[in-house]
Amino acid sequence: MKRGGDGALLLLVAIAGAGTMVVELAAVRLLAPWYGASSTVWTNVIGVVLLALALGYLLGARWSTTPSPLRRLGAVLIAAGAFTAWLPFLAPLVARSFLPEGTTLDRAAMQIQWGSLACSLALFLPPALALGAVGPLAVEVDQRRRESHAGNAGGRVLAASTLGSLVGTFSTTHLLVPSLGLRASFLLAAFVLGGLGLVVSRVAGGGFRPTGAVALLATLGSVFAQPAGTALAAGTSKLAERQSPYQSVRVVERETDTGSWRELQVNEGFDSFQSVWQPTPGFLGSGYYYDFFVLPAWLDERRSGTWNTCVVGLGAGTAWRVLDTELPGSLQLTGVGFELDPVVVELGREYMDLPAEDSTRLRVFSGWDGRAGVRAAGVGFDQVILDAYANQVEIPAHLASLEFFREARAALRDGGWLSINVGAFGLEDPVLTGLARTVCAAFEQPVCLVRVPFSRNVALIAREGRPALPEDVPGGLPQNWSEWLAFGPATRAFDDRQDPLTDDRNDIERLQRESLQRAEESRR
Amino acid sequence: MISVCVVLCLGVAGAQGNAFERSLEATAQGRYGEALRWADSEGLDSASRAQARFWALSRAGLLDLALAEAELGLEEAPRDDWLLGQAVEVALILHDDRRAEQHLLTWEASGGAPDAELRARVASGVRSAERVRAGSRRAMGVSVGLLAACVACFAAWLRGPR
Repeated sequence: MKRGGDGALLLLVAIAGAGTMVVELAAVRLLAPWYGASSTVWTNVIGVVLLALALGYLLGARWSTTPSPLRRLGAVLIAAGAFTAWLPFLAPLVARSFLPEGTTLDRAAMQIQWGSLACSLALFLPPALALGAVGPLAVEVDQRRRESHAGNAGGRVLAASTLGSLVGTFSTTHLLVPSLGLRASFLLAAFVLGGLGLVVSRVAGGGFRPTGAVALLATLGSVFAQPAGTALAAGTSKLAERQSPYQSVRVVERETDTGSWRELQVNEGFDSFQSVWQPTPGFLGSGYYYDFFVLPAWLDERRSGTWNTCVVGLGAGTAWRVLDTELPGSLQLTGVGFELDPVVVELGREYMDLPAEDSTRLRVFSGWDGRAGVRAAGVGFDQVILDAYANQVEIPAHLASLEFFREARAALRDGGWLSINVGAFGLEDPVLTGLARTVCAAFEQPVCLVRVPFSRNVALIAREGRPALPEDVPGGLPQNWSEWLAFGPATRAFDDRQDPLTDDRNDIERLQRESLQRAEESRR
Repeated sequence: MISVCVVLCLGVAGAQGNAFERSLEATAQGRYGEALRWADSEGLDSASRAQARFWALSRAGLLDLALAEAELGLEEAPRDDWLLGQAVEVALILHDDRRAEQHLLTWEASGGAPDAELRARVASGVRSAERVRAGSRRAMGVSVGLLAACVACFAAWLRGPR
């Protein structure tokens, strides 16, 4: 590289830094259909990328002593491009080699730790290693060309690489993946890296060697390959699929005896869904926890006026759709709903009757975190509903703390209700009892745990200023609830306020792992 | 999944019949607490009690508890065809393939004749569970292998430039 290429070398390093971040950030999205995007998966991906970068630095250090480090620089860029190009196509194959098609969600969750680590190592180690080698080789090129000190060259290259990584970080999350999708983002990164590698090889005078040609062909071949997506369950068809800044989201439709039902699914295509829609609004029936969000209104004394709700984790609005039709007396539903993912809201409006943007009765706040939402929502709500899950099995820790539940309590009117959907294996599940202890401590009242029939969900209900489960359960409740609330195996009053989860010490993830392990052990 | 006819065809004779039938009737009407009380009433033998309790809990949708009830009943009456069949069905629904297989084998050993479709479902469930377990072992092996290779590369490359 000539003297005029001073800035060009730094630009190249910056692009390699950006490429590293594209691979790292989009990597989690690539694994999400199989393993979700929990902190365990993030930790594995980041750990593997750091390991690969460290190895790459060593490789680059060794190669920097060769007569032409510039030629090696071109080679590692071409290799990084070729490896990156194939990631979207190899990911399903690698993931399926560990996690067969048709695996149920609870079984898949048991494999998150080792499965996502093995996938990360097999998929992301090669490109990240190649990109790691760029830094030392660039330092060597810079130092030889400028005849400067090692620290000087190293500092310049590190600065350029870090700035590039910064750009890569923001553009991957906010620009590339949402606008181009996952596959095109990887391909774009691959072609930019590979193209740069070819230019560098040419400048280095290395010509076009067979290995370079193979790498180029491999990169080009990826354009024509079709990635194997996650399979749809039998009898379902896909209505829409989009990439959001958080996850892959799709709406599927399946024929039932009561018409075409729709489900909104995120990331994983296992036996789960985030929202559900039926042609005629109303109770969804056995197996659907949404129906139990209506229970507090029927236990409440009020039968007229408005029933003002605050929904955290609105999804595509299923809770509202059930409430809107099934409230007792002449109660009219109003409220605010918070959903973190704007694409979920978009799809909810297009396919699942989620209220429009200009609705004043039911106001949707998309892109809002529930914790911030509850704090900003105001006070005097009749009911706060918490249905916030990440990856279908994990309640975010900041929505499972004493402090959060105190904020939810402060948002309620006297006698108002908190309803939480908890995924749990029975009434003794560690996640359920951990949350129940926390809510008890926050509300200073006994709470009520109600199993949802034919499902792995439990409705956790608390009430401001009084016990959630009335001493005398009223008769005539819909859905056979009068019987259900008095049925010992299904319903339990819970009053233990010891060891609540707090913002400072919150082991909800450990409890979630424990819950899944218990379920798995009971099968052995 | 669980046929009412099967239950109604159960032969429960004499004084037991009344409590048993009342339990079934209460279950059919969604009065599950009452159904359990009838099932626990004196005069019912352990097998009938287990059947009635299983039926109430399974119709209520508390399948894990229903399975536990069936297994309790099978401790008392290990050759109860009906309970064995129901235990297999419920274990399959709960994705507890090993227990489904275990109850199926007991059923066959006690002279029962589960239909081919049920046998196939159990076999498929067991295969699927085994594939997941094998996948987990594979994932662990690949991870350990690749991490070991990385450590070896570190050791080799840290020795310094050629």
